[in-house]
Amino acid sequence: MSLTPKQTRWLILALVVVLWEGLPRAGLIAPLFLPPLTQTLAAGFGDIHSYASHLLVTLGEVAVSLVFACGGGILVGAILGSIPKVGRLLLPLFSSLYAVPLVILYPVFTAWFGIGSESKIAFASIYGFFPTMLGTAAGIATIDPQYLVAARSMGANLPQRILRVVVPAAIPTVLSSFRIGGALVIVGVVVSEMLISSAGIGYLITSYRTVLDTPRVFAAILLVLILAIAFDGLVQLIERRTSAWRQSGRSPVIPGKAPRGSASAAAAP
Amino acid sequence: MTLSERQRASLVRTAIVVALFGLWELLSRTGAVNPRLLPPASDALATLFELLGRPKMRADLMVTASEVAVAFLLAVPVGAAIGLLIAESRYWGEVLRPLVFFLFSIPKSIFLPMFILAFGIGFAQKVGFGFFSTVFIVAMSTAAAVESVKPDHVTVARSFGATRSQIVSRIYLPSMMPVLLEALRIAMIFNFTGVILAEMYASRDGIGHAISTWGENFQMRQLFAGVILVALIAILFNEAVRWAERRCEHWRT
Amino acid sequence: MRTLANVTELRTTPAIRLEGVGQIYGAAGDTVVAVEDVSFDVEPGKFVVLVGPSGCGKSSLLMMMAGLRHPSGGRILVEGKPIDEPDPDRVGVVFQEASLFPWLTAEQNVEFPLSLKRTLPKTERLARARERLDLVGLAGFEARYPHELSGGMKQRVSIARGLAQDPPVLLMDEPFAALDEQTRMTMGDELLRIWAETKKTVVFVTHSLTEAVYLADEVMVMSARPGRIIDRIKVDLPRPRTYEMLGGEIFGRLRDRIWRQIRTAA
Repeated sequence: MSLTPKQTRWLILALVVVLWEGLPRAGLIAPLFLPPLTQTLAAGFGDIHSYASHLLVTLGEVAVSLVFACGGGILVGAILGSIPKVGRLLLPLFSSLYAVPLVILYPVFTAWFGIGSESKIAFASIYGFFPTMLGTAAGIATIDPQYLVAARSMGANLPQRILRVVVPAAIPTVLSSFRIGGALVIVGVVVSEMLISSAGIGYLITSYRTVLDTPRVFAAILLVLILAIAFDGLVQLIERRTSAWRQSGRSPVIPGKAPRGSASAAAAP
Repeated sequence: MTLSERQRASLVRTAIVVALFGLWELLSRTGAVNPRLLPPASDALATLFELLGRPKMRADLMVTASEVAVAFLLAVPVGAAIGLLIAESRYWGEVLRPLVFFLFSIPKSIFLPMFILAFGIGFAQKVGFGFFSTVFIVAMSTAAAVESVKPDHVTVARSFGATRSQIVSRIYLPSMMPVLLEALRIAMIFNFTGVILAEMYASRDGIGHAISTWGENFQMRQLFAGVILVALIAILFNEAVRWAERRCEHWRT
Repeated sequence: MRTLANVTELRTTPAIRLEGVGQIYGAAGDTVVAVEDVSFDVEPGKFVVLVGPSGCGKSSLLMMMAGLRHPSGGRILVEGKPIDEPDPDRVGVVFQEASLFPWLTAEQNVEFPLSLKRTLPKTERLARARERLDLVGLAGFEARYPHELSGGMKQRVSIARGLAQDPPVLLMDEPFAALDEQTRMTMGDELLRIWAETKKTVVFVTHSLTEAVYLADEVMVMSARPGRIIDRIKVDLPRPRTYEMLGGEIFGRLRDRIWRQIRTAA
C-alpha cells in the first residue's frame, strides 16, 4: 500500500469515470442502461437551450419553496426552541411525523393545485420544512444559558440579549439546518416534477426516460447533481465565513480519525 | 412527579392530534373546504377499513412489505461491512469516508430512472432502489457506532483477560447498541421512503402505486385513506424503535 | 532503620519486581523515551504510591505492570513470574474516572471479570460480586446502573471489580482524580480500610501529594520525560492514618520533600 489515502480516492474516482466511458463503449453494459460519459455530455450540451429553460422553471420553484420551507422552518423552529415548554410538548409530534414518507402527500397536492408549479412548491416546502424546523429548534434549545446569564449580568435588555447573544449563537445551527432543508427542497421539486408535471428538469428526466433516450436522462441527472452540490458548497462557504469563532469540527472519538464535517467538501471534485 | 408530567404531555399531544382530525372533519362537513377535495376525516377512516378488507389492497401491502424487507436485509449487512471497514481500518477509513459521505449527502431520488432502465419496473427495481437509498446511511451510522465505543472500556476488558471475541460481544455490541438502534430506525425511514417513491414513480402494484393511482383519478377518499395508512405504519415502526432506544439511552454515558 | 528493612526484603519474594524497565514510543528515527531504566521491588502487602509531573510515564508504568503494554526493555515480575499479558488472577486494575460499563448494573460490573472465564457457576459469581460490593460499602446498590450512582460510589464499584478475582496485587491509576475534595478524602479512608482488610499489595498513581503521603507506605517520585525513579520516600506515619496527621509536622516535611523533588524534576 504505497498510495496515500487521497491518491487511492482519486484513483477510485478516475476508475469510475473510465468505466463509465469504457464499459458501454466495449459493449459490456448496454448503452441503453448506461451511455458513455462523453455521449451524455454531448447530449447535454447539444440541447443546452432546452435544459436551460427547464432549469429556470425548476430554479423558480426551488426559490419560492426555499422561502416557505426555510423561512417558515427557521421561524417556527426558533419559537419552539426558545419556549421550552411548547417545544417539549410539540417536538415529539414533529419527530414522529418525520418518519412518514412525505412523498405520499404529493398526489394530494396535484389533486388540489393541479400539475403546475403550485403543487411542486407545496410539496417541496413541506418536504424541506420539517428538518429545517427541527434543526433550528434543537440549535436554539442548546444555546448555553450561561451566555444569557452573563449578558444579563452585564445589563443587556431582552432585545439586546436576543440580537447580540441568541442570534449569533444560533447562526451556525440555523445555517446547517438551512443547508439540509435547502437540499431537500431541491430534491422535493425535482422529484415532484419527475412524478407528474409539464415542465422542469424532473419533467425532462421522466419524459426522456419514457422514450428511452438514456443519454439525455443522464445529462439531466448530472445537471440536478451539480445544482445540489453547488447549493451545498455555497451554504458551506457562508457557514465557514460566519462561524470562524467555532472550533473547527468536533474532536474525533478515536484519536487519529478525521472529523466528519469537512468530508463532503473534500469529496466533491 | 416527572412521570405524571410526561403522561400529561402525551395526553396533550393526543388531544392535539384528535383536535386536528376534528378540525379536518369540521372543515369538510360544513363545506368550508370543498368536500370533494377534502373528504371528511370519518369518511377517510371508514374507507381505510373498507380497503383493508379488499384482497387487492392486502396484496399491495404484501408487495410493499416484501420489497421493504428484502431491500433492508440486503442494505444492512453491506452497509455495516462498509461502516466497519471505515471505522476499523485507518487507511480505508480515510479513502472511503469522504466518498461515502458524499454519496450519503447527494439526492438519491433523481437516480430512480437509472434503476428503471436497468431493472425494469418490477420487484428487483424497488429492492434495488430501496437498497441504494439505505446503504450509505447504514455505512455512516455503523462507522459512528463503532467510534462510540470507548477505548477505556476495551482496556478495562483487556485488563481482565477478555479475548477478542469477548471484547466484541461484551463491549462493542452493548456500546454500539444505542447508536445502532437509532441507525436502524433512520435507515428504515430512508428505505421505506425509497420504496414508496419507486412505487409511485413507475409500478404495477404496491401501496405507493395505489396511492398515486387514486391521486390521478381524483379518488380523494381512497387517497386520504392510503395516506393515513402509510403514515400510521411509518409512525408505529418509528415509535417502536424509539421505545427501545430510550430503554438503552443511558448506555451512551 | 533502613538496613533492617533491607534484611527483611531479602527473605520474601517481592509482589512486584521491575528490572531495568524502559518504554520507547514511535518508529525509528522519531522516538520518545517515556520510561527509562526503572527498577524497584514492592513487598507483599505494601501500599506504594507513584507521583510525578504530568506525562512522566507513571501511568505507562502501571499499564506495563498490568500486562496491558509491553516494556521496550527490561522485565516485570509479579509474584515471581513475568507478566506478558493481563492476568486477572495476579493483578486487578482500577482505572481513572469511572470506567464502569454503563449497560451493566453494579453487580454485573463486578461480576464481569469472573464471567470472562466461566470457571464458577453464575450463582456463585453473583454471590462473589455481592460480597465484594459489601466489602466496598455498597450493599443494597447491586441493581443500580452506573448513571444512578454518585462519582464516589462508581469508584467503589470499580474497586470491587478490581478485587473480583481476589488478585494479590491491585493497581490503581488515578482512581480518585475526578472526585471532589471531600469525596476524595472519604474514598482514601475507605481504600485504606479495604486494603487493611484484604492485605493486598497496592500500587497507586496520583497527582495529589497530600493523597500520596496520606495513603502510602512508600512514595516513589518520578522525573519528567524520560520517566525515572528519582526518589523513594518511606512514610513512617503510624496506621491507621487520621485526618489530624495532615496538619502534623512529619506530614508537612514529607510533602515538602516530594514537592521539591517534583519541581526540580519537571
